[in-house]
Amino acid sequence: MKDAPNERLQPIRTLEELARALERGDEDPSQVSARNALEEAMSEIERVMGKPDLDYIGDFLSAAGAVIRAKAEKLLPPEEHDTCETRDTGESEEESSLSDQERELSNEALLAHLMEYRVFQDAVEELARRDTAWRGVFPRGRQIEAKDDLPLPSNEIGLSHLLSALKDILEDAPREEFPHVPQDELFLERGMDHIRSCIREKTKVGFVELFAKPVTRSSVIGVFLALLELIRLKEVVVEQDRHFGEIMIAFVPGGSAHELQ
Amino acid sequence: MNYSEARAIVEALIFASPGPISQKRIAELMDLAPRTIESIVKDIQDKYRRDKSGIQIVFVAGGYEMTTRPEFADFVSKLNIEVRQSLSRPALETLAIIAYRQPITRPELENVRGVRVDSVLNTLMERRLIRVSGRKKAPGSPALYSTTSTFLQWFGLSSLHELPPLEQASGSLLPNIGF
Repeated sequence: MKDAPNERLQPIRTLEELARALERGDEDPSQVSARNALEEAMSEIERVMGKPDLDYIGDFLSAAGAVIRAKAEKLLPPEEHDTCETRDTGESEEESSLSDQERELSNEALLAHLMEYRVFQDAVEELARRDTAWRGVFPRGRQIEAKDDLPLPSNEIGLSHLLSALKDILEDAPREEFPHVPQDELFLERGMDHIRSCIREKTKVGFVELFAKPVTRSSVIGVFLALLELIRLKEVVVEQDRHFGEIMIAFVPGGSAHELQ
Repeated sequence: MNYSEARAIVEALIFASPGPISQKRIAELMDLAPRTIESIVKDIQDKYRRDKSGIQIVFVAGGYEMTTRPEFADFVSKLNIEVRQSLSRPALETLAIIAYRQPITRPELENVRGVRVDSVLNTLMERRLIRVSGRKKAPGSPALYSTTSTFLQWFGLSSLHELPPLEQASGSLLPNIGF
């Protein structure tokens, strides 16, 4: 402990004395509030010193730790190694043999547990073998799903399907000398309105029907971008009632556009 | 109905069924004895084998199902058909214990495996390989887990009894499904 006036050391000495009293058994640990003792000591330190320095805090913590350890040792059950030491220093034969028996039972339980675990390992091997073998067996009607599905509102159609359908339409559309796809919001809005009105007429509209003739490549791309925007806004869903069937566009059931229909 | 007609109908029913169709169900639909159906299916299976067909009829999860033959898996998977992921070792271990000791609680599973199984159970539930089949009459009413018919289909098992018996298992530790 660093040099300090007696008054400053007093709170720490008080704590150290309390710890020794607990160790000797002079104080009943269940009646000693370590928290109160530490708070009192801290208040005293603050009163005497104002703001304590770090060295002093170290001494305080050391003394506080001694109090808590002394109280804990008296109140908590002894640790395992303490029991062994007690046995070495003259515990009765009966108690010693009981512990051995318990240990033996514990070992037996552990062995049984390991045996059981081992038995299941054989079953695991069999399941692993079957897992591999049956991965290559495809039952009729297993779902065909695109591996690159975009998280669209529809579970049926992915972006790859739409792009594939778009490619077919673009191939049929006449090439423009100076193709230009307007990027402004008004253009997008017009495309979205066009799709909405197509759906309102028929409840559901085929993907191909969206691209009314005469079409140009830029108008096709414009309507397609509008469709993607409507999907993003969760206003429309894209469906396909069967594999390789026609792609249909409809309002999201229960959505605002659907209710206006 | 003559035999060849009956055989064609059985084949059509198995083909059209969305999942495994039981012998009993086919028998009911055709008003024939289940044993007759068994014999007809065997006949169709033999025919497919003789013709070296790309499809087969298997008996899984208590019913007949039409599937592709495993030797053509590489070609079939090119169709972009969803190929299921293999199960991890912890998932297989957990599944094996559930299969043999069902219904079983999570703490009982953890006792055998010696580790926590929460996330593995979630994975198996998501894949519908297991389900909560009830509650144990014990403090806290823990959920009891059992395997599903998807489990049987996944591993190509006709029933749980097709699982191989556990070797050297101490009977008292494996009381539940008679292995």
